[in-house]
Amino acid sequence: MAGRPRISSLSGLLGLVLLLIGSWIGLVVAPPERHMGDVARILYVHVPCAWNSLLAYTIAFGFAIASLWTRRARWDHLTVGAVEIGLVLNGLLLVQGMLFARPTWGIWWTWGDVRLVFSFLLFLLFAGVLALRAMVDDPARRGAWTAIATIVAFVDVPLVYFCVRWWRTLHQMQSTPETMSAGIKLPMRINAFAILFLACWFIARRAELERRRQEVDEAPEPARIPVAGRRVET
Amino acid sequence: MKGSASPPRPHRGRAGEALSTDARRGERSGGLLREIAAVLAKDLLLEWRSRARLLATILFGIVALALFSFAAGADAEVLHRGSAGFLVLALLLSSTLALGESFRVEQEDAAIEGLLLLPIDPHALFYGKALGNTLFLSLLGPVLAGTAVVFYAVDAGPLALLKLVGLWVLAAAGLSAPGTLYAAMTSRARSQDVLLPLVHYPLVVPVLLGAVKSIDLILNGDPMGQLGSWAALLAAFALVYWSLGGVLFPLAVEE
Amino acid sequence: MQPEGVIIGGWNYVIAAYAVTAVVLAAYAWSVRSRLSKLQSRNRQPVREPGEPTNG
Repeated sequence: MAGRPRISSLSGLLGLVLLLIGSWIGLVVAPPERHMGDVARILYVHVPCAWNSLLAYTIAFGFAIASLWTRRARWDHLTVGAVEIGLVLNGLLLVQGMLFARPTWGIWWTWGDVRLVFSFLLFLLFAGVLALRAMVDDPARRGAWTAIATIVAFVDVPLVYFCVRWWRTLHQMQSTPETMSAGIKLPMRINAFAILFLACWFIARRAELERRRQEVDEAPEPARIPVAGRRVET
Repeated sequence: MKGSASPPRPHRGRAGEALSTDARRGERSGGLLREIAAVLAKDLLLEWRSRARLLATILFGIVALALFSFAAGADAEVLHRGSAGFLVLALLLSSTLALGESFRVEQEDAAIEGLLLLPIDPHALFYGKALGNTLFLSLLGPVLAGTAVVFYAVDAGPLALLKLVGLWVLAAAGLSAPGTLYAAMTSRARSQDVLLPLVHYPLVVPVLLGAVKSIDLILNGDPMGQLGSWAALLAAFALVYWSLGGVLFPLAVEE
Repeated sequence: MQPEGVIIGGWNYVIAAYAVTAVVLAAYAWSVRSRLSKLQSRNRQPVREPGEPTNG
C-alpha cells in the first residue's frame, strides 16, 4: 500500500512525458497524411483516447467483478476510478471526433458513422453508472450497486456495437493504423501508451480519493454514540 | 468493513399474505418455478387491485402516441413511415412508468424488506417481477397497436400480426429484465424518477433499435430478409439480461 | 468523400483538438488532486474528543 502512490506518480509522470513526446512527433515531426492532410494529426490523440477509454471500461468491469466477489471497498474505489477516467477519455474522444468530422466530412455529427454513435452511447451508458452511484448514501449498497451497474453496462457494449453497426453503415472512415503508413503509427503508439500510463495514475488517485472520502464519511460515526463518556467500539 | 458501515434497517415490513403461504408451499415442494409463480401471482393481484394505476399507464402510452403525431406533423405519409418508431418509443416510455411502479409498491411500508425476509429465493423474486413486467408490457401491445392502426393507418395481415406479437413480446422481455434489476436499485436511491430512465434508456438501445427495425420491416416490407437477424438480436439481448439479472439481482437487494 | 483530393489546412481543428485534450486532462487531474489534498488536510486535523457532539 505504501509503495502504490510512488508507482502511480511514476506512471503519471511517464505518461505526461510520453504524451508530450508523442504529441510533438504527431504535430511537428510527422508528415501530413496522404489524403486527410494535417487534419489526420487529430487521430494521433483521438485513436489512443478511444483505445484507452474502452480499456478503462474493461478494467472497470474486472474491478466490478472483484468488488462483488470480495466485497472489499478497495475494489469499489478502483471501479469508480476506472469508470471515471473511461468517461473522461470517452468525452474527449467525442469532442476530438467532432473536430475531425467537421473538416473531413463537413459536418460535426453524423448518425451514419458507427463509431461515433457507438462511443456516444457508451458515454451515456457509463455516465449512468456514476449517476446511480451518486444517488446512494449507504457505502455497502453504493459499492454493490456500482459494481452491478458497471457489469450490466459492460455486458451491453458488444450488443450496442452490433446493433449500431447493423442499424447504419453509411460511411466507414478508414482511420485505423493498418491503413496508414508506418511513420504515422509511431506517434499514435506513443500516445496510446502515454494515455495508458496517465489513466493508471488517474485510477489510482481517484481510488485513493474515494477511500479517503469514505473514511471521512465514516469518521464521525463512533463519536455519535458516547456511553458514559467512553467511546463504544463497534 | 463494508458490512459494518451500513446502518441497521429500521423496518421489517409486512408481506402479502398470499405470497407468504404460497412461498412456504413452494419451499416444501422445493420448486423455484412455484416461487416465481407465487411472486407473479402476488404482483398480478396487486396490479388488479390498483386498476386505476394500470389504466393510467396504458393511457400514458396512448397520450405519447398522440404527441408523436403532433411532433411529426399531420403528413400521413411521414406518420406511417415513422409508426414503428413511435410504437416502440411509446412502449419504452410506458415501461419506465410500469417498472418504476412495480418497485414503488414494494417500497411503500418497506414491503420489500419483508419479501426478502421470507424463505423465498431472491432469484424467484427477480424472475417473478420481470415476468410480471413483461406480461404488462406485452399487454400494452394490442392497445398501442390498435391506436397506431387508427392514428398512423398501420395495416397488417394475419401472418404479419403473428410476427408482430412475437417481436413485441421479445422487446417487452428485453426491456423488463434490465429494467427490473435497475428499478430494484433506483427505487431505493435518491431522485429515483430521474435515475431509472437515465440508466435504463442507454442500456436498452439495442432493444429499441431492434424492435423499431423489425417492426418497420414487418409493416413496410423486408426485401433483404433482415428480419431474422434483428429478431435474433432482440432474443440475444433478452437472453443475456434474463440470465445476468438472475445472477445480479440477489446481490442488488441483499443487505 | 474525396478519394483523390487532399484536405488542405484544418490546423485550427488540430490545435483545438489537442488543446481540448490537454485542458480536460489537466482539469481532471487538478480536480482529483485538489479534492484529495483537501481531504488529506481535513484528516490531519486533531481528532475530535470522543464525547464531543458533532453536527456531521
